[in-house]
Amino acid sequence: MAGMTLSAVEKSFGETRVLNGVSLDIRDGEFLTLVGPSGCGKSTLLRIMAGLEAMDSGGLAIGGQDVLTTRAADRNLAMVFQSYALYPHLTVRQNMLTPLKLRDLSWTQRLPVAGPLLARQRYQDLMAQVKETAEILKIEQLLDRKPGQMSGGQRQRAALGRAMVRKPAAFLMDEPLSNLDAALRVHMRSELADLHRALGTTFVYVTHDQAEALTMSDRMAVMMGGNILQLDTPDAIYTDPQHLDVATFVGSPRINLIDAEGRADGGVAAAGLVIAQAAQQHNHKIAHIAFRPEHATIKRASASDASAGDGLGVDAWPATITHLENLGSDLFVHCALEVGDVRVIVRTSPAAGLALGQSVAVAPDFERVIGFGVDKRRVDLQSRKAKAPSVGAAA
Amino acid sequence: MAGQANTSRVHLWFAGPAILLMFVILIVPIFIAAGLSFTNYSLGNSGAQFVGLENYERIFTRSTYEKMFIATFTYVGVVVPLTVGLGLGAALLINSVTRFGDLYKTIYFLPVMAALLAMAIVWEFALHPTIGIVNATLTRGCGTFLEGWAWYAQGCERTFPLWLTDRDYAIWTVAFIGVWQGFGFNMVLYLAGLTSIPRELYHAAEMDGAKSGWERFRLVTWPMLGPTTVFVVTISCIRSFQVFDTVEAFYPQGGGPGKSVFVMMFAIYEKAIQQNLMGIGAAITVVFLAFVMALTLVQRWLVERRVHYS
Repeated sequence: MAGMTLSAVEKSFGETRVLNGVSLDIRDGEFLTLVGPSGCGKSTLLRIMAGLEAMDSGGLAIGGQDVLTTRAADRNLAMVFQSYALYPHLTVRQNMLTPLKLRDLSWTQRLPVAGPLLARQRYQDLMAQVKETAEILKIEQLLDRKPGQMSGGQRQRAALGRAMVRKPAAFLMDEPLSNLDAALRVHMRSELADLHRALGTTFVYVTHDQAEALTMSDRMAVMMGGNILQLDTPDAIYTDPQHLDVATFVGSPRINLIDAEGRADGGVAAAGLVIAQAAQQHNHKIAHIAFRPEHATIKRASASDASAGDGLGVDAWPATITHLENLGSDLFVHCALEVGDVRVIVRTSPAAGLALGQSVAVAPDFERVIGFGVDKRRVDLQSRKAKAPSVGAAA
Repeated sequence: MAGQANTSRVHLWFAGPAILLMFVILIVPIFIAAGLSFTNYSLGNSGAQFVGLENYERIFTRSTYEKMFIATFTYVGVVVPLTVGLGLGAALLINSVTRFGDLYKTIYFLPVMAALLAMAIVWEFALHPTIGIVNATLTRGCGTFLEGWAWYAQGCERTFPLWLTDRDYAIWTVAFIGVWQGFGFNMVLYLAGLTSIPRELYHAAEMDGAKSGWERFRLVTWPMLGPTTVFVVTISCIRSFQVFDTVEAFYPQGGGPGKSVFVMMFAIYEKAIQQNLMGIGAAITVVFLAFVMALTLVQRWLVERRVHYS
């Protein structure tokens, strides 16, 4: 077991810069996820940790020990590959035995026939380790099969078994679930999290699927363009993103994003609605406001509401429903706002009785709306000078 | 769907022409050859007599044919392991260099592309006892430490071997040329096999602690080349059994010194074409076909049993 420290890691492939000085402190025993769109450098970072790729500059320590000159085989890390990379000519048992044999036996003990005879006791010990690991992963009945005779999920387990069997300092996982079908992927998420709890070893997990990152990790690092934009707990990343790209990448459906402008009086307006007061020093920079689909409510806009003007124009956007996505438990309502060419998605309950083309009003939860500046960084918003009485109702 | 497939005869029209052609140009000639092998038929001779197994009896008892088998199996036994081994070695080396890979590929592949008959003439010059470059080069080494080697000292004292006309050397020389000519082809097949090995397997091997090149080779490269190896060995065997043009170029008369290079293909040619003894020629052909068939069956069996993983 060990933590890992990366400091200012840089890497280029030819002209292409893949990592721009990434620093990352991975705590001992945590489940850390590197998440980002393809090409953001997350896999490269993982492979640098593993030692399969050399960094151009920077430092890497595992368990407090500098490993820059240590080759991959000596770093005592285990890796699970996206394609599983099981040896296809060996049975699962032999696959799991391979790392043990290569590390724990001398070359004479590894000889094909003479080896097991010479070191009987050692082989029995190794077999016992394999069996123990197989029991944890519930793959005892698969031990004599070859990878070609197994399903994707079974191969996945076998690959995990091969990584686990020699009790490494940390596990590196490169999109291990992306070759599985959707249902199995969801199932394996909880299994992996359970496994992490049971082993207590450091897991570094690379994925492009923000749902995996949110559901499994202790902390997640969102990477874009060779930088870590934000490193925090999944909850903090979701509710409190510090960067516009983090906000849009994490969460499904996507966070609602509306262009905003700072007004002379310090108010922040988006699509004709005053959302908040910007903290004075940020006022000039605000460019977008964003809110999650669950942080808004749909109000029925009856004719009387619209004409009466009882604050609807102040705390909600008039809109038309363009699409309804019913997931059974939730209903995602796609609305086109009447002001500006903006579409937003609002989560509501399927029992709401909404219809396509219906005129409604979208009321955001003003306390949960977040702002981003022109440089895509987070801008602190202050509660708008509460004129609208229905702010509380919208929450 | 199934009912439709049963009543329709369209499938016959698709498969028919291929089956017909296969019968006309492959199966029927083989049966004719097999039939002829039981007669003493010769071309132009209208009457042929059924002689039973006499031709086969000759093949397996006469010393000429014993020499034929010895020459053929020596050639196959030398050429197959060496072309496969050198082909694999060259492929691994070329795969590991970052520069000039294409240049080496071309160089090693040149003998495969060249017409062996033309190359045989070049080799004949090179190996000529008096004007050939090989013995001239060897003579240069006389008087150096190489004389410590008894064989070399003897060569300096008298003459270096008459590579092509000494019955002790002839078959080995021909086999050497076969290796020179053949391993480039195997190299290309192995190169193709190497490119299809997933890189991740090497990474997995590294993570598992395979540190030396030999460990990686044992764990990943060699097993993953299994299907290629089966194919390469089979092809090399068949090609070696079929060796003819070098023998014909070097020894148009009679299969080398003391019939030491009297390989099967040449025997068929000499008996059936030169001497117009179709019966015995056909019998050798049938024996030859039996060998090739056996090889192919072993290959099929290996492929299905052992080396296909997915």
